[in-house]
This record gives sequence, structure tokens and C-alpha cells, in this order.
Amino acid sequence: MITREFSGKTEKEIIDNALDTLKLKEDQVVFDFENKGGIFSFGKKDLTAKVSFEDDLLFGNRCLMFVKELLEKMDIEAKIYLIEEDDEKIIIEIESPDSALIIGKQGKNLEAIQTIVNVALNRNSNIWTKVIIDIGNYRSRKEKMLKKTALTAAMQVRKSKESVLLDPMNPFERRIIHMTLKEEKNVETESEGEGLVKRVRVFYKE
Amino acid sequence: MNEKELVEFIAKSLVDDASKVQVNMIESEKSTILELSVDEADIGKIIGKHGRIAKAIRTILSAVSNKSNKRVLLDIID
Repeated sequence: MITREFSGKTEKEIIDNALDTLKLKEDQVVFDFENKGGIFSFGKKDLTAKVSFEDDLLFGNRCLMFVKELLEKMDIEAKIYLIEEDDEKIIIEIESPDSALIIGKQGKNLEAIQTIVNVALNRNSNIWTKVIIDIGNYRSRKEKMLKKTALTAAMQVRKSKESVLLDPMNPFERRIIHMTLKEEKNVETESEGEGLVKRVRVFYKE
Repeated sequence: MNEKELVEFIAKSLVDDASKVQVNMIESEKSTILELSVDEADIGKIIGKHGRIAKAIRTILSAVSNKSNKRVLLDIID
């Protein structure tokens, strides 16, 4: 059993928030409400509830199970580990002799697997917890490369005071560019184009 | 490698009504066609915005079918 604490103004608020955060249904969890409207609460104090559920139902564990089953169905031999888990993101690492097949050309297959995993696991919840799947440090290497691309473009823009248009990128890649340049002086970023694959333009800003 | 089971597994994980997921496999010498049908209300969930999900399913399928050197086509029936 895993127990987590949630607080809120009303019981309903706690229940809704807990179910959305944990991505579970009401019959999968047990709520234990504390300081239930005591004499001294005067409706000001937040309510807290201990929310308990089976270990297997932990979102990270469900992600692991899903990826494991998906790879099994793809006939791919792999070991899968949960690297990081919080309410915003889950990081899963795959170890496999078939890593080239899992990654695909320019990460195409890995991107597709990640898309399916994210939608399948998040679809019933109002809170989107990003599931990131990495394999042989592919993502961390790619992230490093994208950061370098972003910073090089920023340098170029500051020098020439003219905008630079980067290569087409998927949402995951664009996000890294935007995040990297958010804190950089004298530059601004914006995505251009239609559809999923857009291009980021880096602008000069006084 | 069982492409039919793979598509069934993915489709069932995406829809509300898993009992309506059906995959029909038509095999010929050079290719395999998988006809996927789901509940009418779930079609959008299989296709996704800009066809993003359908594309992901097809990418996964072609990744694994490269192993067997046979073309696998996915038809989403609506």
C-alpha cells in the first residue's frame, strides 16, 4: 500500500484533485479524511486526507507495465527502469540489444512509442503527466545537442541583430530551444509554421 | 511477431470502449493489411489531432515489420 496526503477546501476538491493527480478511479483508492470539520476549524482550515492505494497502481508503475507490455508485443527484448517520478513527469529508461530499432531514423520510432504511452496513460485525467522514455542516453545526448544549437543561434543573432530560423523540429525539441533561450539576453524565440513539425525563429531584442 | 495483437493492444489502450476494438488481418504474399475498427465515438482517439496518433501507430508497425521484410498497412475503418 502507498499512502499520500492531499489537502483542499472541501472533500470534493480533495477527491477530484487526488484522482486527477494519481490518475485513478474512485474505487481504486481509500480516502481517510482528517480534522473533518471540527469545532475549531471554522471552515478556514484546509482539510487533509490520507489517500491509500495498491503499489501497482502508482502511476510510474503503471507506465512501466505499459511500456513493458508494448515492447513485448513488438517482440523486442528489453529491460525497463523507472528513473524519476513526480507529479509532472515520469522518466523511463529502456535497455535493449534492439536499441537502434527502438530509436529509429532521427528518433522517429522512439517518438511514436512515447506518443502512444503518453496518450494511453494520461487520457482519463485532467492533469497531464509527461512520460519521457529514454534509451541509451539518447534523449540526454539529443538535449545537449539542441541546447548547443540554441545557444549558437543566440550568439549569431546578438552579433548580427538579425533573426535566425532553425531547422524543423517536433514539439519536444522546440520546447528545449524555447526553454534554453528564455533566460538569454537580447533574444526572443517564436515557433513558425503549421502542424506538428514547426520551426523556431530566434529574434533580436533590445 | 504478431502485428494483429500489437495493434489490438495499442488500440485498446487508447479508447473508452475496449470491447469494440476489432482487428481484421488480410495477408497476401508481399503485404499484410490490418483493418482496425473501433466504436464510432472512439475514432478521434485513434486518429488524434492532425492524425498524430494514427501516424504513431503506423510508425510502430513499420518499425517492427521491417524485421520480417513484409509491408504492413493499417486501415482505420470509419
